[in-house]
Amino acid sequence: MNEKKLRISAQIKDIATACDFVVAEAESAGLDERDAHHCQLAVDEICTNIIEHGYGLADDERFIDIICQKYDNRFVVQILDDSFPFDPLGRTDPDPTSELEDRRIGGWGVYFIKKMMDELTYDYSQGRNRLTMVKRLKSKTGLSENTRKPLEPTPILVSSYPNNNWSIAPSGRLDIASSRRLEAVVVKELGDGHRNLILDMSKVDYIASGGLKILVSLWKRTRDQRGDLILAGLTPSVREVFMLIGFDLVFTVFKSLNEALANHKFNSK
Amino acid sequence: MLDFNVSQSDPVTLIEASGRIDSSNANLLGDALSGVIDEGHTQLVLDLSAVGYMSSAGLREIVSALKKLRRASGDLRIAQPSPRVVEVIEMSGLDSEIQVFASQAEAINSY
Repeated sequence: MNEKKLRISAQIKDIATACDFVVAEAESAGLDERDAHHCQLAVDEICTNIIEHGYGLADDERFIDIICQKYDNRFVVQILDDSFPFDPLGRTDPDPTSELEDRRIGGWGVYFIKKMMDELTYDYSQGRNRLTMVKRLKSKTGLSENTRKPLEPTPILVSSYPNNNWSIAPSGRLDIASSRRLEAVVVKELGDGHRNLILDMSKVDYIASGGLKILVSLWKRTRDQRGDLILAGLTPSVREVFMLIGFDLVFTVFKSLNEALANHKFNSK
Repeated sequence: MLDFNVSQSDPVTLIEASGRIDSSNANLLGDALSGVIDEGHTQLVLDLSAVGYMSSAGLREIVSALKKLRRASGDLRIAQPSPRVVEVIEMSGLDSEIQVFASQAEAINSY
């Protein structure tokens, strides 16, 4: 997408125009409604700050430039103003856990920006403040590494079933970090002599390319030890990734853990 | 455009806001809330079902009104905020300080 630019006069009443502009550009770049709202709110908050604190209110001689651009999987919004040099990111964040009476009145706008946008950079050059804000586009296949903020580590549950079958159930995102934890669990099970492994994927809503690689290495490792690692209960987004890269041909996959337990005959008892 | 409709549903005062709340007009929300509080009403329900967008400027007015009311042993409770408004409330952590209800009736009956 080519660079699109809007200039507004530095007046509170003109911020809504900037908001409309950013929403339209964000949506045409492919952001969903929620992410477009994040961009709108970020632009609103930063323009409000610039006008209220940088320029002083109602200065129609001055202006703010808003530049939108899509660059690979990133929607980039630059906000430029020529008030005095001020880094909005440098301020201490308010505390969202503070009690009502102790709540800070101001400073929430920039805090929201930090929470909502994926990358933020401030610089001052050629007499202008520039805040560059990036919102990453979500990948439709779930292959992208960086679409969401990391979640707290979730437990990986191991359960034993008849015939020395074992299920291992990770949950949440399977990225490099969580796959390494999964790897440790599988290695431990193999060390304990458990070779009939069913990876219950029903609680995994996202798998990153790093996670896929580790999955293959675990499968090989299990096979090398005369065991097998099969998969069960792929969620739609994970299944889509699997089909896309042909993993469905490599792994034995069952619709659910119960189906795998009922139907799969492992070689070793 | 931002409008308010104030009505009494004893003992609760209901303020229904409609429109977009941002830095250009958040003072109107502040005025509407203070107007009601200054008349002596302390049990307020703010219905945000017709507010599709609210920035931190709106939140600021809600927090000041809430502080004022709590000191007077009153309260401000929010009814049926849209998902985008809920997100803003949650981001600020205010959801642990203010009661939010899925319907207007629930908010009113909570008093």
